[in-house]
Amino acid sequence: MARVELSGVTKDFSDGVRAVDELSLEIEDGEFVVLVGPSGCGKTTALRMIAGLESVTDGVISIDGRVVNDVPSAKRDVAMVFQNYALYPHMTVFENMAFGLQQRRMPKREIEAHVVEIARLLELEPYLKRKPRALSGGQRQRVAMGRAIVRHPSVFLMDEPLSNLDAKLRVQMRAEIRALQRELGVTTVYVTHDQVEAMTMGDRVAVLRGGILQQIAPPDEVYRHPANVFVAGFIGSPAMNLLEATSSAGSLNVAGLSLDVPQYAHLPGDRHYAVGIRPESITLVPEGIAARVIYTEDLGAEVIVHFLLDAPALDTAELSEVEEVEDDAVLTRLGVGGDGARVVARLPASTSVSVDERVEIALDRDKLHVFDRESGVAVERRGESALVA
Amino acid sequence: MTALASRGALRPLLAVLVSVLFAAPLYLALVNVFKPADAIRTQPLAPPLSDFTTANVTNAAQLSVVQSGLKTSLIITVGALLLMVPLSAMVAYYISRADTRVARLLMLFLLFGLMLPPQVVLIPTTVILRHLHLMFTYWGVILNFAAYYLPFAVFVYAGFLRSVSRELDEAGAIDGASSFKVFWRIIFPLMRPATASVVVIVALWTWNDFLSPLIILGAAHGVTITTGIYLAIGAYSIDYGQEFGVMLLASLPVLALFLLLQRHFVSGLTAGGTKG
Repeated sequence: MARVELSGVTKDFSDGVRAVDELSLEIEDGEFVVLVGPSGCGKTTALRMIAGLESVTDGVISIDGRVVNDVPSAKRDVAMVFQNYALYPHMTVFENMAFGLQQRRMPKREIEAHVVEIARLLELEPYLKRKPRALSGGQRQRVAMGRAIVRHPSVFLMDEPLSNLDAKLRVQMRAEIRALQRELGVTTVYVTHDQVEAMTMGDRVAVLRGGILQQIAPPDEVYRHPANVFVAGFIGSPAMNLLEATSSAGSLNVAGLSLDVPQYAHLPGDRHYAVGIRPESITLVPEGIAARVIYTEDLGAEVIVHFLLDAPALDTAELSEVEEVEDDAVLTRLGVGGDGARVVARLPASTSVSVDERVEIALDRDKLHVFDRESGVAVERRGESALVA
Repeated sequence: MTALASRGALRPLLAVLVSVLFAAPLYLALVNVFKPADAIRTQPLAPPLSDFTTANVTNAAQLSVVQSGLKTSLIITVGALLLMVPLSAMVAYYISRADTRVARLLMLFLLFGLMLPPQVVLIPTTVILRHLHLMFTYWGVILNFAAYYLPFAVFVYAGFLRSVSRELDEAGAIDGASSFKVFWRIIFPLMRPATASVVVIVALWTWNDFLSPLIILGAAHGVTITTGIYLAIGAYSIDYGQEFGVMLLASLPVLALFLLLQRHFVSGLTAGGTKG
């Protein structure tokens, strides 16, 4: 068990690309931290630096108080589960799991006892004599986990270990990994681009963008109180809706409507903001903000409805990196809808709307998020509010 | 259209002609090795039907020049392979994994070595070997072959290593293995298909080489099977039956090696280690 600390860690590649920029993280003993972000955000590079597979350009990485910047991987007492498993193809499952213990010159009998114990835990015992190519994707993934666990390392590092599994198996393995980590209590750093994995597995979630840490907090806090526009757009599926807004004398003008939002009454007048609202915080009402239905997705238990408002769309560099906002851009290119702000709502399955239907929607004032239009940083909330049209 | 059609008809014809050109000496050797000497002279193209004999092979096997030639060729070939295979695999591993200028220069240097014909380097090689007191020794010939075919082997291995995931190296390193152990326990066993190719091809070249053993080893200090065949040819008369017997014996070991290793040519050994 160990505490992992990154202090101002920077990684510059030889081609001049700065993959990680002054990353500072403190991961507590036994904690499960998920590094999440879009492709190229530096999450895997950060993990590889902790593993000792990449050198550190600047800053300090320490494990259990020991600075490991120049310590080779073998001596960091970490174990890693790779995206493609990286099992040794010519070795059996037993040999794969035993390899790390052999390098530590553990007696043969002890190695056998350790491997069998972990194989039993992971239900791999019947496959110990098989080669990796004779295993299914899920079993290979388990062997990769077993190889990491059997050494009883101080830190587990996992680089998108579920990305090669099908959707059903991914859900199952997600729960298994989390349960296993809780049982073993080993400090874990887990990299993923899948926000559902991040939200369901991590004790804390660290959101990265362009090598810079945007926010690190427990999943529900990241969801409920995103630190900036990027985190707001990235975490949550469908993504948070973001609209242009201006402030005037204690109220916010959103989509042509003046909203009294007491928790943001302290905002100075005549300033531009970005207002965020989660899809589940939007409801259909008899009188509210006029909207046109442009697209519906019936998921059985609920309906995802895409609306077009008569208001300008919010366009920021941060949002262009968020996949779901990109999806909206694709819809625009395909000619679905038209110009204006798009809003997505998560509505009950009983909702009956059709494309091109004109409806009225309401935003839950309590759940509004306000971000500075220039910096993208969340504006501080004060007090409470209620549902308004 | 007509030009295309005529080109289409020409192609198989050309293929047959080339095949005949290559198969003819093989056919001649195979049919004549099992015939008595007079039948070889009178009907060199006929198959050995009524007059089938294995006397040519048994006679050739009893020749001391063949016995010592096979032994010497075996020592030299095995020695060169034992030296060259691990060395070239290690060099290729370094070149394929180290993204440095030194690695790129080394590869260029070795590629240059691939372009040199053996006759060009033979004289300088003898000068070096003389200084090392290795002329007219097995070690001299072994070192000559190992060094000369090293660039080829490195080239084959380096190409193969591109298909071996670097994640395996990294997994080994995290498991606590040293660079050498990662190479020896994880990477080298996965290079088996490339090793099979290198072993078969270099063994064939080494076994068949005539000039290098003739000059470096010198006839007085021992013969390989190729220099042995040369010595077995009489100055005034030729016993064709015996010559064909010697040739068959000379070819068998390399043929056996190929048959032994051919299944390893089929790659796919790395299947299952990484996804995809």
